[in-house]
Amino acid sequence: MLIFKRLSTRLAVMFGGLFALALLLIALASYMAVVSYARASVQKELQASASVFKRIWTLKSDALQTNAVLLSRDFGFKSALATHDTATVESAFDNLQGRLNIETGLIIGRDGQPMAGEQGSLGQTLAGALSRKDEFGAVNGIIAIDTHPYQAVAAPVMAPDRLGWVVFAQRLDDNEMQNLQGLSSIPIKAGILTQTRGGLWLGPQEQTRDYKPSSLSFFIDKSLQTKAASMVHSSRGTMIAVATPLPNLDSQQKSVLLLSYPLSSALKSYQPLLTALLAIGLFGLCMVVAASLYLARNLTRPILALKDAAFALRDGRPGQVRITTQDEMADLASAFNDMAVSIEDRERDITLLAKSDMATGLPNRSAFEDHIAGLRDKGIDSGVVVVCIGIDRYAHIRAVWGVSYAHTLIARLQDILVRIFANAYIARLSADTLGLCLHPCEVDQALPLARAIAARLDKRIKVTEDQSLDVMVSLGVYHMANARPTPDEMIERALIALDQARAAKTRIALFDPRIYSELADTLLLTDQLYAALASKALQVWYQPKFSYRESRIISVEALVRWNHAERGYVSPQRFVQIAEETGAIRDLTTQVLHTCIADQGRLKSAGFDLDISINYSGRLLSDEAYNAHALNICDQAVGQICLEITETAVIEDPRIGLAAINTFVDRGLEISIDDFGTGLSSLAYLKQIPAHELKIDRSFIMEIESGQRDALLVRSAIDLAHGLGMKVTAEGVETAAAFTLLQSMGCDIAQGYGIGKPMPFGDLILFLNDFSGMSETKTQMPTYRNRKAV
Amino acid sequence: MKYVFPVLAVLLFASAAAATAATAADLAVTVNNASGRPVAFAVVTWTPAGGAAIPAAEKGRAFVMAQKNVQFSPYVLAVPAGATVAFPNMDRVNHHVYSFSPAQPFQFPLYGKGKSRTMKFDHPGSVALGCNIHDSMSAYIRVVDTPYYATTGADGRVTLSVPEGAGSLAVWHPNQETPERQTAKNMTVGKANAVQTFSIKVRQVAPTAGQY
Repeated sequence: MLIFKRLSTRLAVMFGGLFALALLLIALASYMAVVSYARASVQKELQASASVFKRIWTLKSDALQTNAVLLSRDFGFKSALATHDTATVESAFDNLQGRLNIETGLIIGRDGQPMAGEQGSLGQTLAGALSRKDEFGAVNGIIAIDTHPYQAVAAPVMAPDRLGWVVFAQRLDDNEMQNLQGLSSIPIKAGILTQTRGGLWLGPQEQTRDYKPSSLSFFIDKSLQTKAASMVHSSRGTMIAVATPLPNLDSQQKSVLLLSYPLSSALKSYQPLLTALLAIGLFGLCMVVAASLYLARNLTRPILALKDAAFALRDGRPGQVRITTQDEMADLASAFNDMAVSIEDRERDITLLAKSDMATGLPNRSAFEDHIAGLRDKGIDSGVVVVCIGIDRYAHIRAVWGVSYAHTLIARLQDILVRIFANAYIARLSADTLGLCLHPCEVDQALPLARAIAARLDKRIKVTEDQSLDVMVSLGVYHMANARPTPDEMIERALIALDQARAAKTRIALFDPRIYSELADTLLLTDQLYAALASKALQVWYQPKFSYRESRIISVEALVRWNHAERGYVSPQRFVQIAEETGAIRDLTTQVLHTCIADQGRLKSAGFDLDISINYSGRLLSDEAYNAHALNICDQAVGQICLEITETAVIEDPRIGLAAINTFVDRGLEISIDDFGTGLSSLAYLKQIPAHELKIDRSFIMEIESGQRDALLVRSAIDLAHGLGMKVTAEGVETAAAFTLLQSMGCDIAQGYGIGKPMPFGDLILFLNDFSGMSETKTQMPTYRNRKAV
Repeated sequence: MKYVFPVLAVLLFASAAAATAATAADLAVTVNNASGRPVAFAVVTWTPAGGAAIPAAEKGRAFVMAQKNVQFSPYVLAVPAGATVAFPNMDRVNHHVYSFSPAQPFQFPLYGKGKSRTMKFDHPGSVALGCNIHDSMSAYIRVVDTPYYATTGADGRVTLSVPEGAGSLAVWHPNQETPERQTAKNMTVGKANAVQTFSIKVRQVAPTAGQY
């Protein structure tokens, strides 16, 4: 299968090829028709010639026969023949031969032997042939002597019985044949052939030399059978020939008249016709190829135009086709143009939707990114400032005044900014944040710019005709100097600066790479915390709690420690905060619970029956499923478990928090209120929480010695707790003075470095062993001995 | 009428022979051609083994080969050797009767109506007759060397009265395709004899009919 890349070539080749094929078939048919017609006409001519030949044959035979008969009837001749008067017979024969100009002949006597005239092989052959004839009338026919044909006529001499024969013969030489050929309208070649004993047809050399004897004989046999002219090969080219049988004098011989005519001569008269046909065909072929090329070009030109337009459309360029015709291609082109226009319209709409804020019509964050990217594309990579303007209390404004009012406010702010900074690009990055990109702007102008914006926006702004609003904004500024962050990163950094400004309540903040890196570090640490939880790399340390009343260590507080492979000990505040924010606090607490319960069992085996206090995050309190889980774990404890919960945790969701605490208490757990005094302390909640213990924050204890007010607060808190039926634990007891003072205040339990630092489980056993031996120190702070586990 | 004379002659001769020879017997002969049809103009002869002299009375009988309507009549005439045959011209035209047969070459140059010629035939054999000026005229005279002979009629039958004893029975016909145009067989004649049937090959068409 041929594959042409171009449609026009394919069309031209197909049309041209088809026409050429048709032409070839026509030419073939014409040639065959011509040959067939030529053969038919030649055959007709040959048959006519054969008839003429036979007619001439008959005429000549008749002439000869007449004379032979005349002699045979002569009474004197008969008499001489009957009486064997040879001399008279010979003289009579010679006389007639001379008179009639007869080529040759003979007289055959009563005994069948030649008596006068030809005595040679011709005479013998004729005598032999006639001896087999039992005829009483004249006979004639061909007789061949060594392939040389003769025309012979024999008349019997009857008296009334046959006395003998008068025979006249004429050689049918080439001359005679040429005379015959001259009679035909076309130059036919004639020959007489005689079949030999072997079946081969032979004739005079000059008439048969052009043929191969075997193929000629085969042809003659076939021609005699079909009685039609056909082709036979000769050394002078293909001949159209026909063989017709001739009468033979000798019944043992067979002769034919072979008439032939060269095929080339027959076709010669048709040559101009064939040439003309060929010329017309070639001319037609050229015309068809030219016409199909032209047609194909015309057909494909609009298609190519459409293709180019489609490619243009694909590449985002306008793709319109010029319409030059009025046909179907024009309709297609017109439809294509319509389609291209609607695609462009739709694309514009989509771009508009994608790049703008629906409510205000302002560019959105994507458009803002494009703008910054556009600046970068222009080769500007320094002196660009991005300011994120956050509207404070936006959610509140929207809730109070409605969504459309909030949108109008944003639009108004944008109007103001546009008026100040004509060459700034302003977009709405999120619902409450506007972005402003300005270029050029030096680094030292960035903060003044932000202040100018704040000054202009932080005032009463007329949102609608009849309503004005006091607006407060915070601004995050990022100035691009030498670093090459992506546009997205630039916006993100400005947003981080905004967050920093809000967090620091500074209203305006420049992007601080340090804080940014802390954030990144927190992310890394979060991952590592998960890994640590999974590998149980976190340890639980214990800090002892001293009971004034019993003068001994009655419980320990479990504190989680993370010994990081690279960072060393990570601040518990930090990773616990991360755990709370990411939800890892559940796994963390579960691990601590399991460890504590196991350790409590081991302590008991070692002879120390201690309560263990465990910090329970306020975030967990609202998770009922986890609370149930934690309870199940605590049920396995061999001793008392106390959960330390901050007051704030309860205040955030009092209903669920109190319910959870009540459940814990019902199941036998003790509850301790942690960090009392630092958060929002509510006496109402304090009353409702069924706690067993109140832990006064270390910040009060640290100041107890020097600050009169702190001492007063602590004393009041102790009294309050006791009043509500709770024990009081003082945290951060470090000095003997504080220890003694707290004892005097009626504090129940002391905890802090003065008693013992948080220590691993192994150290705790040693510590307890040492401590138990010092029972005499009931009224003074036990001496801390820093001992390492062995 | 043309058959009357020879048939009559044969009958007369047969009755005469029966009267003179006490041992005479009838020999019936049928001549058919190859397809079984009776052949006329066949001359049947019986030649006793020892030969037979031809009585003078037999030789002296009048034999006639007339020319009538430009034809010889009869076509075949059998005569014993030594007989004389008359050739009366009964036509209005002249005839030139001839024969080149070796048995008796002769010719009667033109003679007219009402005239006759005679010729004595001494040598047995066949004599082909023709007329020089009428090629279509053809006839044969069969000269036999025995007194026992007859010519078949249209029924192809003859009955010879011959002496008992051995002999040769022969059938001659001008168109018979055998050497000497004759078929013969030796046999012995008894008191009563079976009918002898000859089946001979005869050329169908008379050779001279209308061709010359």
